Amino acid sequence: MYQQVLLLELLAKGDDMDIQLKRGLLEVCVLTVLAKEDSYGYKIVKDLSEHIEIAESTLYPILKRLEAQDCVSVYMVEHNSRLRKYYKIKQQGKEKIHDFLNDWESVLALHKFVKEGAEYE
Amino acid sequence: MNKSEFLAELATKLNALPQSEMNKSLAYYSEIIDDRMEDGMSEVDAVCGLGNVEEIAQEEMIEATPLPKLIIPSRPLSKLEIVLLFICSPLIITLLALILAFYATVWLVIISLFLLDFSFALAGVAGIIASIVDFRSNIPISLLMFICSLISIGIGIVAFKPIKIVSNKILGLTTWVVKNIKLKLIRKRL
Repeated sequence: MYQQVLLLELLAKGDDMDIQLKRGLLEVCVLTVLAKEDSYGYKIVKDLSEHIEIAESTLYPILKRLEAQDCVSVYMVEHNSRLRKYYKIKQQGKEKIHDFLNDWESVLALHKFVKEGAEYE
Repeated sequence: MNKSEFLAELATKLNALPQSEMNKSLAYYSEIIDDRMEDGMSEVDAVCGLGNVEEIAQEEMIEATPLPKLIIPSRPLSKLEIVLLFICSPLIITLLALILAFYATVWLVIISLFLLDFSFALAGVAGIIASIVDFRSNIPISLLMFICSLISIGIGIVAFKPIKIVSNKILGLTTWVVKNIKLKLIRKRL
């Protein structure tokens, strides 16, 4: 719970937040959506918007990077006489989520330590 | 602005990208607009909600264009530019060498830290094996060696994560610097 709250706090900080950190967090968020089911651009944005404000233009470079990193694969599905691009998480993507969770544990421990120190003052 | 106008403007702004990249981008935004309209939005609302075309194009150009391509002009250099480049070359080369040396130093320090960490872990494992093998010949020394080896492995394990975090931060900082340089160069072009 504490982990989720801290993550959402960080994501909500927008432009003030370390760009690289936010970028990494968003990548993991997208992978998490895809870990539940294969999805397409608009639906990913909709699913994520329940937790964080993200524009379609922000999602596009993220999906491109994840594809380049071999974290997701793509396939086309015909829908209403047009093609829709679906994204599917790959093993590399699942490992990225696990790496993030492991790294996050140590960040959380540091955050807790700093917070307690600040409250003590 | 309707869908075709948006896509035409985006295509114009992205004309510096390879054709395949541009097509992928146009297909993505076309799909998003169609999905938004299917969700009940009007065409104009679906397009407006995507944001400013210039900003979208700018973001994509930053991602897709390598830095050297932005620095080196695609047109042929004029004679004056070649002469100026030749005169300034010692300064440019020195500056590039300095940046490269600094960057290499930072990474060498990181690599050394990883190697140091690895040697702690390796020394620990070797120490444990040696203390077990040679346990009976000198029990107090073997016990001391065993404890020191455990401490050595502990240091190796504990120090790994901070070193990994620092190297990730440096990598992130490098990407951030490159992205900002690209942003400045692309703003001049768009």
